[in-house]
Amino acid sequence: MALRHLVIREIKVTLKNPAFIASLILLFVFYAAVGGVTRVGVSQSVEEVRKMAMRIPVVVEESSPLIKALLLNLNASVSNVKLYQSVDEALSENSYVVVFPKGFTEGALAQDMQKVPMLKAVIKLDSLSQVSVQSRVSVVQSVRQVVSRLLPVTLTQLFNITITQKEVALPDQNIATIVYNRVLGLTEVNSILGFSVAAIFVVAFVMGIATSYAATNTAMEKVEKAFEMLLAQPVPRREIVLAKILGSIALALLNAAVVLIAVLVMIYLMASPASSTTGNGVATVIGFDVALLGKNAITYIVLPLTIGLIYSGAIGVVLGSVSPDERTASVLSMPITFLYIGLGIAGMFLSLPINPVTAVIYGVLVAPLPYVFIISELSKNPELLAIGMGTAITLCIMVIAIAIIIFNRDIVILGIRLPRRRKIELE
Amino acid sequence: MSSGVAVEVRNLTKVYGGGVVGVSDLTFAIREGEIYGLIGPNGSGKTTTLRIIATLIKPTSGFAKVFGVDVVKEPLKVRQLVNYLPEEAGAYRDLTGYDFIRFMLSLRFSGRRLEEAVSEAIEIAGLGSTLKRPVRTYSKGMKRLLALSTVLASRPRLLILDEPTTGLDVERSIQVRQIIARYNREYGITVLLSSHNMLEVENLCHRVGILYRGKLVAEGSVEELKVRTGSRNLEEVFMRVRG
Ligand SMILES: Nc1ncnc2c1ncn2[C@@H]1O[C@H](COP(=O)(O)OP(=O)(O)OP(=O)(O)O)[C@@H](O)[C@H]1O
Ligand SMILES: [Mg+2]
Repeated sequence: MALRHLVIREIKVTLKNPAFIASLILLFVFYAAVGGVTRVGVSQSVEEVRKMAMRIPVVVEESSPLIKALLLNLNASVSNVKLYQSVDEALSENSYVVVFPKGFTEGALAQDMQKVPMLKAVIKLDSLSQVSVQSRVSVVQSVRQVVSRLLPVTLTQLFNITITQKEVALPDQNIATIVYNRVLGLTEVNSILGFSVAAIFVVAFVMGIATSYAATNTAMEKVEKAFEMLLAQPVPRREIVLAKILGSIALALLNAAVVLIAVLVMIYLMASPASSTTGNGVATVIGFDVALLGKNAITYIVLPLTIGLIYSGAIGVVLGSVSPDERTASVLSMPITFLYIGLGIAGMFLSLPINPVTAVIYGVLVAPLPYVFIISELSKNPELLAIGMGTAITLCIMVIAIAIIIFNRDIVILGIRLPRRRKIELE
Repeated sequence: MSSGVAVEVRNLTKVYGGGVVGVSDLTFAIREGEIYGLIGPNGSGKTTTLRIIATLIKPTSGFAKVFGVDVVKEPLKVRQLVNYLPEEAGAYRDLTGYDFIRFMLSLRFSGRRLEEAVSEAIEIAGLGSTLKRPVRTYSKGMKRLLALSTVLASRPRLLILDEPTTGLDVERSIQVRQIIARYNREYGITVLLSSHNMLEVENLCHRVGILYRGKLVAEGSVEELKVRTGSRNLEEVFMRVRG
């Protein structure tokens, strides 16, 4: 009997906490928004891909009867094949081109089963996003599949022979991309995207920690009843706010460093009995990315991280200062962390081209700034970075100012007053 | 501003969110060197008044000045003249009592003066080796003593104490009252306190203001109030002016 009341109480106290309800609503809105935005991005690229597949642009570097017959079959069975003299010409009209390179025929006819016919492809990208890269790659790969399927049929037609099925290959190394007027291999592009996602995640994660430390510690001080005494001391409120931000940054960095080391230890321990190279593997991957992006790779993370930490610390102080207790503060800061990480990475999966408008959005979120860094460097477009960083710094200063204003007002002592339906009797 | 006035409160009104009236059109003054007691039933506006004078919350209208300095216009300057013991004062759970004393006083003093103030606070607190333990292991009264000791040891020109002896045992209460009286006498510290203990107010305060529903309904020395209302003690005065 008592158990029932106890259980009801447990649930009721949380349900009656307005901050809890607010956080649920926020989470719901957040996931719905991410879903909606992703849907737009995906449908955009699906549309693009559909257009791309209507015509297959081809460049032939080696003229052989086999390739001719293959192209005829391709034209008849799937869609229009259009031949171009050069890759440049093809790309001026299309967003990709499939190349039959020298050695294709030899590969197809060789008795040696290790030798396979290889295709090449060049893809034109207007933005460096996961969705736009993957959708184009899937188009050229589907062309490869069709060619693969048509190969034995064509061989039978031409030579009246039946040979064992050979797959036509189109490995990642054979796919080049043209992005921001430069040529990058697909592996390089994937590595840049991977680096960006990792950098965004790290920045967003550490920002989340800073926010939650700043919020809970600020609210905790109220619960411990030392807050009013502190605020009555002859210290400018601005210093109290800055101290809280700096403290939360230090704690977040400490926390993140421990997490990083722990994860590396975990990877090392998991890998060591089986093979001793995996540990090096991690280092190699990181080293590779750093080498690819140059010495600036560290700047790409450190600068956004610094701004992100100050920004998120200040947001935490604002949340904590209007929360009556640390429970409310943590309930409020949890969805914020989801927002940092989720929205930060969402942009990368959309085909959002980076332009001044999206640079502002990324600046607001701070975490995607490493991505903006890379894009603005690749596209030789420093204004984008300036806009992104400028937005982030401006907002950062604004949030600090808001925190200081709150600390100079009653609300920091009395807490935020949520409207109540109950009428309050006067006199 | 005449030099003899420590606190000047004029037409002070505080309306909280939702229209709750904290204090309404309050006017009174405290002379320098005086111990002034605010009494009144629960919810009559004592804490509201003290918080405004301590610059923690802002009045809706009217003003308050501490040694001629406006609490809204120059709060930082006021905080240099004042120290405040909140109604529910606590300390950081995971710090030791000693660390708390040091931290609070380091916001006001440095060097030799800080060391002196810390020793003074340790003496007032009278908690002995308990000061080396984290505050989360303290009893309610011990926490109150800890907070009180740092506030007193800072020797501000105006001490604002919201129910200073609430939660303390009889002996400790007497001690604290003696310390307040001594600091007032020896260092000329002006004291503004609130209390529900009529005996305490009668023994300690030079003048008393009685608040009722956010308004000052009577003011004067304890003797004056007794004569004016024909009462034998402050408790009776309290009941009579409440009407
Ligand atoms: N944060 C607040 N929000 C709304 N109303 C408040 C708030 N704090 C105090 N009040 C109201 O202001 C009035 C005065 O309260 P105050 O705390 O000043 O009384 P008090 O005299 O100190 O009472 P007590 O003897 O119980 O400490 C009360 O009606 C109270 O409900
Ligand atoms: Mg009170």
